[in-house]
Amino acid sequence: MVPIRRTASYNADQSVLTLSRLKTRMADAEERASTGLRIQLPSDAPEIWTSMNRLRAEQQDQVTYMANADRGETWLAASENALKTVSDILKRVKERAIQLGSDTISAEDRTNGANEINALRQELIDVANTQLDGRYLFSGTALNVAAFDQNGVYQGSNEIPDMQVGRDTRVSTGYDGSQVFQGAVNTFQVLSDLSTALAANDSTAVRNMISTVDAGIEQNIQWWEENGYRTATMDDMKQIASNLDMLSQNQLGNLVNADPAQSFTELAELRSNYEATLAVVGSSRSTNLFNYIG
Amino acid sequence: MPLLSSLIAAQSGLRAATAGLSATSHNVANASNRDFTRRRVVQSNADPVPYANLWIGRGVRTEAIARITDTILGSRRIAQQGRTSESSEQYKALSAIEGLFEEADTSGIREQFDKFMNTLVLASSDPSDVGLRYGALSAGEAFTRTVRQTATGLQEQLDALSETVEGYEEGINAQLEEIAVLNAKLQGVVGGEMAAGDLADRRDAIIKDLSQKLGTTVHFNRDDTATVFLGGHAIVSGTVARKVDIVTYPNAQPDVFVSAGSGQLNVSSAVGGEVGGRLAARTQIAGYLDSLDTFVTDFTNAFNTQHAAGQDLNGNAGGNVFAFANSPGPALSFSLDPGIVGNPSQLAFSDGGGIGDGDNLALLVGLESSNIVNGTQPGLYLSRLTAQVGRDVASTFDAASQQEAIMADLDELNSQLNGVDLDEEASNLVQYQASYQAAARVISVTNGLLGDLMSLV
Repeated sequence: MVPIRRTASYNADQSVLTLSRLKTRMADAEERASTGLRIQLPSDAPEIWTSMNRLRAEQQDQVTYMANADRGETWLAASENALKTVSDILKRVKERAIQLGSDTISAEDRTNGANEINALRQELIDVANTQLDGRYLFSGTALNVAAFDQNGVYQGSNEIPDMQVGRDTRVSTGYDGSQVFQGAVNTFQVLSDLSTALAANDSTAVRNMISTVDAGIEQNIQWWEENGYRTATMDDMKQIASNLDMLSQNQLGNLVNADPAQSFTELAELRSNYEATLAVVGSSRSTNLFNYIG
Repeated sequence: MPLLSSLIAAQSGLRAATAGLSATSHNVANASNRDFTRRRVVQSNADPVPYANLWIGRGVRTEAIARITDTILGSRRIAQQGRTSESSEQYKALSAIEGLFEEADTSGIREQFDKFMNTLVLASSDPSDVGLRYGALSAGEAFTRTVRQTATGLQEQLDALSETVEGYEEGINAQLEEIAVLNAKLQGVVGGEMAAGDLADRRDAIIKDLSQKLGTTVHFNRDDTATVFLGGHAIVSGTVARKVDIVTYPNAQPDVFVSAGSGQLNVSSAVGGEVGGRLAARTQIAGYLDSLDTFVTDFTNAFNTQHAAGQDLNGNAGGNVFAFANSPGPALSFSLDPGIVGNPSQLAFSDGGGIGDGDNLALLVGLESSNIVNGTQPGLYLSRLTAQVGRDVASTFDAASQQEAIMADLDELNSQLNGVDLDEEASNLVQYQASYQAAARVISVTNGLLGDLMSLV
């Protein structure tokens, strides 16, 4: 068997190698402790890098969906206000129709009433042309075109704008004004007909119009409910996005974050090892038979 | 006659002890020289002479100051040196470009791609919003810039590797010549001479250094010469050295040739060592750049095609959003199309339904989950590419660590067998000192006896 001979150069190489390895491990541990990340580069954990990317993308997606939902809610809130105003106008129209349909009302009062209904019709067209940040709410995807002209003729698009608020979820944010105001009941036409009946002092025709106005009110309520449903969907999607964002963050944290206690303990242990190795190297250097030769 | 024999024997003892002291001092002086192999005095009995009915010993004969070396171990260390430096160099070259792709706390290509696609999703909240359109263009610019920077970093590393590989040629050929010259000197020298040992040490150190550079192997011959091989081709044989030619090309893998008569042999695939490691890393890095080029080509074509199907805010058909040039390369030239830069209204998000129509925008967003890049989703393709770089770096690190461990084992074995142990040398020193003192004493006593004898005459 070959005797083991420990040479000076081998001892020196081993000392350098041991110290070098400890320094490398210390540098890694210091980085983990200072950054709080246990993964710095793809090579630290290539097997989970794709998962990490997916979680990051998921997190970014959810933040985007939340931003979209916020913006969508602003649009829907503006639509809510507009639809409420429409409801108020139609209620006022019904109220006046009941009053002016009475046989005790004079022709002059009905003429004045016709003027008031014309004004309400104009107000209704103005509401139908409501804008938010320069975009028309009721002109479909033709956001830059007023929904109706002064005669109540629809100018917008029949396509409804929507936005992405989830991976596979889109919520409509605008309206096709021709459906909202001129669906089963053409509200502009109803007001126009009522005004004509009042101007003609035809109390019977005025009374007959009340049920049509009711139908218009009912139609508006349905769109109002639709708007509420969209708003609730937006709110739900925002909540879901927020939950998924948090979930992704947690999963990402579990993958890449270092345990601070473990990092600092490891660092302290490595420092102790390094100092001990330095002490051993320093003391063994002087051990040599030459020291004992006179 | 016996008294004179004693003087002769003592004198040979003095010579042997002196040779031993010389060898020891030489060993001690070279204790920290990694290329040195320890020396040992080889002694044998001097031939006795007859005297009356006796055979009188004539002392010790100093045969040689031998170089303690194991040629099999030496060959293995030299071959292992090539493998170790090859994997180590490959790891260093790859780890230098890893950070270009992505780091945990910085924004890489994949993240910039996701950001760009998210600005499109954000634009779906109001496709007519110029601010959101500017955001999309800005994110697109950042994304293309990150791809360009990564590709540029890869190209720079490719160029640097070619350049540095070419830089090895002169040194390698000088070393081949020097090995041949040293072979010639060693061929005729008696093996036991101190000078021969030192020449052999010098030659072996050069061979080891050559293997570190080129991954050569060696066979030590009985005539004390060494034959150096590169992939089965003897590039130094006896006193003849062949020429190594490293040829680089623009944007292509360098070739390594060995002269053969009037022609050349391509030995690129057999090259190891630092050159081989750099060439291997260069092949891998060129592969990453190719993958990036594939991404840019496929993604740009798919995106521009879908974009062309839509209408911009002015009702015009969509033009190109992204652009690249085949020279210098798709990834190196990836950018926003100059026509769309600063013109967000030209983003064709609609399919004709008005400025708030985001139907084409939805289809553009849908490209993110379509297998448009080499049959894979674009984001996943980028993640896999980055993970592949990480896997390659990690595996070359493991290989380098493994080769270094094998090298360290061989170095340890070499050190144990051939290195200088100061305790052993100190012990030898005491032994040779005692031998010298004893031999000197014998001469002194014999001289005294001869003096007594002469005084009787």
